[in-house]
Amino acid sequence: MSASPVSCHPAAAPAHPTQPLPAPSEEDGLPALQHKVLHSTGDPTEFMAELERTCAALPQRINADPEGVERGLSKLVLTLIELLRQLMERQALRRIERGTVSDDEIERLGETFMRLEQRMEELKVIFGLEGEELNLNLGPLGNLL
Amino acid sequence: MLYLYAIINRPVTPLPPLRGLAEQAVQCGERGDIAAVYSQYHGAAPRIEVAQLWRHEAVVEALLDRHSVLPVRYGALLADEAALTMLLRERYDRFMAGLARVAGRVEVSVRVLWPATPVVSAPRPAADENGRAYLARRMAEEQAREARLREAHKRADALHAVLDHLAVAHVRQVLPHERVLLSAAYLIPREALDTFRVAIVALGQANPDVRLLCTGPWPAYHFVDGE
Repeated sequence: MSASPVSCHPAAAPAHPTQPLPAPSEEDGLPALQHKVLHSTGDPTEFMAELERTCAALPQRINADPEGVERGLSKLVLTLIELLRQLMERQALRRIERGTVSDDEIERLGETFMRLEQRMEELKVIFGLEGEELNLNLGPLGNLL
Repeated sequence: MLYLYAIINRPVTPLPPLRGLAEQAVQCGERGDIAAVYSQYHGAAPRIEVAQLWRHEAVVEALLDRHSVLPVRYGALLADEAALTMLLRERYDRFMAGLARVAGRVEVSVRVLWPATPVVSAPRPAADENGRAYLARRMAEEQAREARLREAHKRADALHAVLDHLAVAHVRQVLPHERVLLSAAYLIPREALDTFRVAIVALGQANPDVRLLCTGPWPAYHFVDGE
């Protein structure tokens, strides 16, 4: 391997002034994507709708304005609370399936989880969040919830 | 600042004339047998916008014809040329290994939509629902969810098996969203592109209840070391 330092040079030869690349549609992702389609068995707009949903869930950079930060943090905190709530609830359901929970405990657990769910719904309304927004895309691992 | 597009094997001749984000000329910085492709960048971090993403993509694709390319994820900035030097020095061996992995290969994306399941939603809880009824309702919903997940994995595995033997590597997600049965990327030899397309067409014919979208060839975004 050469030990020479990085040599940064303009890529363009002087005789050939740099040109903008022929960019696909600047506004709409669908026409731009169409030249990359190898095969499609349906209406590509169906896929675009799903793609947009996916993009909407992608983590954006933190918005530095106070309102954006508050909303982002509240979304993150509520997502984590919802994750814990669902994990606890599924654990309770497993125990019930195994028959290791008494009738009294079932009633008590059910009341507790029911109230937690109601409270979460109230908090989502307070922070202006929809159910689908309370999730995190973990890349190859899938969605958190 | 420098905006980074890709790491490539060292160009024997100057890069073709390209303009990248903010119409800045694309340049390269070399070290040993590799080079980083970048352009000057000023201002706030680039936002995720369709036109910008395609501009990034166009630069990376313009390199594909003559180079092995490790594409860099959109939005990567370096402070200055000293940072670029350090990047190439510290990760030289990993970049070389990565370039060897993608040499002569391209990425193909496959997305499969399946019919939306009519959600057998239990009726909304009554105002006077007690704890036991709540858990019974949740149990039914959970069992339906798990059955759907099992069915999704069974279908996705069958589709994936047909494509996987044509690829040298893959990444995939089963049921990332309710309507998306499979979202996968395959790293295939460039010369296998037509064979892959034929396999996709056959899959579509054999599975008329799903919708297939196969796109490519792409730079190997999913097969680059995450760092």
